[in-house]
Amino acid sequence: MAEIKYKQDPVAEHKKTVIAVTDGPAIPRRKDVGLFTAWRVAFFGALAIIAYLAIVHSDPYWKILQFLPDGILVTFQVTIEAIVLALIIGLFTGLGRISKNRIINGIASLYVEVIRGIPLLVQLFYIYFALGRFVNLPAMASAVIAMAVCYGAYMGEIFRAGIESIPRGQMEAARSLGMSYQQAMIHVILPQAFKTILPPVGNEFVALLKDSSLVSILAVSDLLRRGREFASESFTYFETYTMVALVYLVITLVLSKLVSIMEERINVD
Amino acid sequence: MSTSSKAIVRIQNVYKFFGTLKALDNVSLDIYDGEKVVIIGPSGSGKSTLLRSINRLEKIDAGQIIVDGYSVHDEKTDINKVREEVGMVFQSFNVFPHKTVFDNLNLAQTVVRKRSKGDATKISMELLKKVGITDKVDQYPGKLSGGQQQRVAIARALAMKPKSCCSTSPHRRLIPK
Ligand SMILES: Nc1ncnc2c1ncn2[C@@H]1O[C@H](COP(=O)(O)OP(=O)(O)OP(=O)(O)O)[C@@H](O)[C@H]1O
Ligand SMILES: [Mg+2]
Repeated sequence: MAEIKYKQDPVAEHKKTVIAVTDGPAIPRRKDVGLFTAWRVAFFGALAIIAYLAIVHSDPYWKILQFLPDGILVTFQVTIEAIVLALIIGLFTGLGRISKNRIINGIASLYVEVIRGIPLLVQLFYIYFALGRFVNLPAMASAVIAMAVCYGAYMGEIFRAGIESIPRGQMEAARSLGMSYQQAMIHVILPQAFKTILPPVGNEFVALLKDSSLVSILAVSDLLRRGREFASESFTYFETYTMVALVYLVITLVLSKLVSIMEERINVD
Repeated sequence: MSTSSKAIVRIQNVYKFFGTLKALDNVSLDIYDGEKVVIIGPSGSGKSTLLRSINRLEKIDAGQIIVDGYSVHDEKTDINKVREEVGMVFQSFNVFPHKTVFDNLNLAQTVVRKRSKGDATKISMELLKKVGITDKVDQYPGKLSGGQQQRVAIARALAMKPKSCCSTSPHRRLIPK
């Protein structure tokens, strides 16, 4: 999960948000030469190993590789659906966390505290089975909702930090022009906060994709579960999980590269 | 003091504290329609605080402020209605960095005043002409000088056609053209 810290910049007058990634593959930056090459080694190394295994030891590796794409699609589906839902939850949680209304603020803060204090896997089980008690949802939908509720809390903190990074004068100027709080948020604050929010959201996306492997326990045929299905039929556990791990690695490396490109673009503007 | 013209801003026995610091000490002032008032005082004497309390950006601790018939610090007052009519130019300008100069002026006109894009654009163009930045209308404020940003902020406030206008600008930056 991304940790959010503030760095007070007395000259710029407003808070600069610095987000340190504590989880997920290290984000490669151009000036960080060591990491940059580490990323290359990992990425091209993983691709080379996959290719070597699939060609030279096509039984079982090529078979495994052919069996996995369905699971990759499901993994992406869970991740994308969950992140969209988490963004919506996060927006309202973030707004709740900065709300002056004590009840709204209390609810939002409680949600964040509770979610942060319970392991993701436990939450997943809990929400999944709690949902199952009241509504009959497909496994996939329950899993997505469970992931979104978990990640919504972290998104909420990202939104809060992003909104708070905008100088107070912006809200005051908007309100002075007669805008309501909502209008000021929509037209003035959130569009500016977007720049700060986007990179950590990208990191959360990568983290969520990895964590989505947990839904394999909930009868969702994601990448990991497809691997397990193959392995238990063919008894090639080691080979299958080798392939699964390599595929996850390639996916997260590509995604974190995209995040870093996005970060660079934003900083250039 | 004439009774024929209407006091558009009435400030009556206003006190404001920041902790133990008394920023406003029993301030009373009537401003009449069409009147221009300049408040002069040393740095930190409470000029900005007074102006900010006219549209409730600062809460006051005692006294009352009446703008255009509205009691500003009454919780029941629709503060957005008051603010529409009080143009505010901030000491640090607070132009919107994510909007072009044009959109800085157009935003509140369309969102708050509900003017059509065409009407808003016409008014904005006129004002930008007046403050002399017609060549930068499609620029983002980041590329403007301090004085230019200030002029955008003034034009932005005036574009609302407010009944009164407050400016907390240090005069030395205002070199009229
Ligand atoms: N939000 C705040 N919290 C605490 N003290 C404040 C706050 N805002 C202003 N003050 C204090 O109130 C006093 C009046 O400040 P104000 O900004 O109104 O001065 P000013 O007359 O506008 O000065 P200048 O000419 O330098 O702009 C100052 O001593 C300032 O430190
Ligand atoms: Mg001042």
